[in-house]
This record gives sequence, structure tokens and C-alpha cells, in this order.
Amino acid sequence: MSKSEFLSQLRERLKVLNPHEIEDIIDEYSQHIDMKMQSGQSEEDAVASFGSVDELARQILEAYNVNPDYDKSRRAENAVGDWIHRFVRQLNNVTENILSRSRNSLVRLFVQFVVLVLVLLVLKLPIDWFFSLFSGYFGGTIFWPVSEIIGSLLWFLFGLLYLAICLYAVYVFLKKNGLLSPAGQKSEDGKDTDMKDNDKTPIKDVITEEVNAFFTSEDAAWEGEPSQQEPGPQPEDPTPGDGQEEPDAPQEEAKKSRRFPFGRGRENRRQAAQPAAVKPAPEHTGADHAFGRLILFALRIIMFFVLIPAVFCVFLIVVAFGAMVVCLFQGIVYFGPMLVILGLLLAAVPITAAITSFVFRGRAVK
Amino acid sequence: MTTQFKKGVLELVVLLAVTKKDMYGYELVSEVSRFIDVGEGTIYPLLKRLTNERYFETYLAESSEGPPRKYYHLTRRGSMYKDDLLRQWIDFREKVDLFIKECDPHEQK
Repeated sequence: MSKSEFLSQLRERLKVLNPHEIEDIIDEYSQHIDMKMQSGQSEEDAVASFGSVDELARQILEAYNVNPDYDKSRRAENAVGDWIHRFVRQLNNVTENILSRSRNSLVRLFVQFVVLVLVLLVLKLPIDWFFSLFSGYFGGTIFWPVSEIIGSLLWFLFGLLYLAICLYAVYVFLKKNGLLSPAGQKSEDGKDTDMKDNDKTPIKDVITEEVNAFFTSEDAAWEGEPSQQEPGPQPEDPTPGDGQEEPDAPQEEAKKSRRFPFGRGRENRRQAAQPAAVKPAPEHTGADHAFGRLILFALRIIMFFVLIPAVFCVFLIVVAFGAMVVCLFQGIVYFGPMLVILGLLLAAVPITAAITSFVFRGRAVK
Repeated sequence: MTTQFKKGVLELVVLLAVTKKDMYGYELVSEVSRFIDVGEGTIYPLLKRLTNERYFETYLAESSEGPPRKYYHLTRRGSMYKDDLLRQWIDFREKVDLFIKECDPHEQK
């Protein structure tokens, strides 16, 4: 067990204590291990000299008069929950990592994944061949009901084997591409492939940037007009005479607009904006420009976040269902690919969830 | 020496070790394990317990290398407890020695 593993396991078991106390204990143990390593022991040995983590945690908790079994039943209940939680976290890591990749590496990743799936599909052939060999052998040598039972048992075993191979291959693929490590840390492989890319900005940043640009321009469009309505001295006016009259005019207009909030108010506001048009001209055109951009970005946002994912998902689901139906009619031998397709269907859900969460994150930034 | 023996005596040994001077965890563990072969896993929880019972005080002190170390200091209360334990131990040892002599067939007349 490594030092960090040991410490995190210990921390997990001491959760019931005050966080300050936990830090204190962890610090001391970490220091002890460091010193042992300085005196020439290996990390493994230094950790091993503490004995089992369970026993250690039990003794520490007893020192605090805490019943060491306080969460035994809860822990057993939580075991399943922990697994699910871990699985979800890994899925989250995968999506986070995918989003932090650049476009090029993403394309490469996708192509690699398609190749992997193809290889796995081809791999089904020799497994089928072995299976039919075995079942043929047993069918020929053993009398009927027994051979049937053994045959179905074998079929189940081979299916399980194939499923295990598929899952393992996908796991290795994800791990090798550094998709399983927490987002932000990249494995060596991931770094290498990224270095070769011309465009190294992560796809996440590209999208976030566009979303931010979209929302800031939208703000400009909304704030552009009210800012001109503000009464008050305007020091940058070209002539002093105008400068004295001007502050009153918008105030009067503002009063009028207050009197007729729904009808003429709107017009008045526009008129009030007119005299001051010389100064805030760049702002005004900026707002116009922003409005144009707003429409443009709205279209692009709709494209990015609604149409493409929707079309993609519908396509994926239709294809997957079609393939599933085919597999079902082809017979039970196609159990493996069917599960893969089922997995793909399930994978579509977190991917769309990740994409939609992006939209909301972009909104939260600004 | 069996684990039961060790466990009973360990508390006294740890208290005695700190009587000489204040020590930090690692130092204390290496000092104690010179005499009693005991796992680190046993000593640290014991230190924790003795601290919680206010026989020890702890304070942090800078070290020449690495992060600051947590030193254990024997309090007055701890010192009294140690004396008491020591008296019990000596008393106990004398009685056991006496009993061993009594039971020794060669000594009997």
C-alpha cells in the first residue's frame, strides 16, 4: 500500500472525528512515514509497520472513546451506493476529460474508439467459432437433455467472457487516453497526443468562450440604451453652452416618460438619446453590432446545443434500436454486441447531460 | 514477550520515556521500540489516548529539516499518574518475583 492510499483509508475510517483532529493525526502519521523513508525504508515497508488500517483506526477511535463499530451496518449498506457513486464519478471524469480535449485529439479519440468497437465485433467471430466447436462436440458425444444444458451453460459462459473482454477493452482504452483520471490531470499519453495538435485549446474553452462572448454581447445590448438615459453632467461635450442645457433635457424627458410609462415614454426615451448621440456613438454602434452578433450567436448556440445533440441522439437511438432489433431476430448468439449497443444507448445520456450542463455553466460565468 | 504483557507495560514505558525530555512521535516510537518490539500502530493511538486524558501536552516546534514536529510533554497530572503506575509495577513485580521463588521446587526445603 502506498502512503497516500494508507492515509486516505485512515482518513475515511476516522470520519467521525473532528476535522481538525483528523488533520492532526494524518499529519503525524504522514511525518512518521516520511522519516522512516528518510532512514532508508521503502514506502511499502514504512506503511506496513503500522499494521492493518482497520485495527489502527479502531485503536485511535477507542482513544477518543468512540465505538469503533459505529458505522458498521451503515458501511455495509453504503457499499453498493459507493460503487454506484464511484461509477458515476468515473463517468463524470470521462465527460469532463472529453470536454477538455482539443478538437483534433477529440476526432482522433473518436476514430480510435470506432476502431476499437470494430475490433471487438470482429473478436466475436472466433469466440462464436469456439463455442460452436464445443457445443458440437458435446452435442455429438452426450445424450440429449444433458448436452442441451451444457450447451446453454457454455453459451452463457462465452457470452460472459465476451462481455468481460469488451468491458476490459473499453476500460483500457479510456485509461490509456487518460480519460479516467480526474479532469485537469493528464496522463503521459494524453500529453503526447495533445502536443502534436496544431490547435491546442480545449474544446471546452472554445465553447465557453463563445458562450461568454454571446452573453456579454447580450448584456451590452440591454445596457446600451438605459445608460444613455442617465441624467447628469457630461464633461466631454464639445461646447459649454450645450453642456449646460443638456443635463436638463433628459431629466425632463425622463419625467415625461414617467408620466406616460407605456405610451409616449418609449418614444421620449429615444428622443432623449438623440442629443447625446454624438458622444456615445461608438457605444451605440457597439450595441447594434452586439445585436447582430446576438442573433448570430443565438443561431449558433441553437445549432451547437440543441440541433446537433438532438439529431445526434435521435440518430444514435434509432441506429441502436435498429441494431438491437436485428440482433434479437438474428438469435441469441448476438448477446455480446447487443450489450455493447445497450451500453452505447446508456452512454448517450451522460453525454447529452454534459453538453446541457455546459450551457448552464456558461450562463453562470457571466 | 506476549502481546498482552507488552500492552500492559507499554503505557508505563511511554510515560517514562517522555520523563527525560519532550519527544516527538517518531523519536518516541524509535526509543520505545529499542526495548519493546511493538508496532507503530499501537504507540500512536496510545499517545492520542494519553493526550486526551491530559497526561500529555503537545506543542509544535520547528525542525531543521521538514515540517514542524509535534512534541509530547508530560504534564504534572501525567507525572503523578506515571509515579502511580511505576509504584504499582514495582509492587506487582516484587509480588510476582516472590511467588516465583515460592513455587520454585529447588528453593523449597
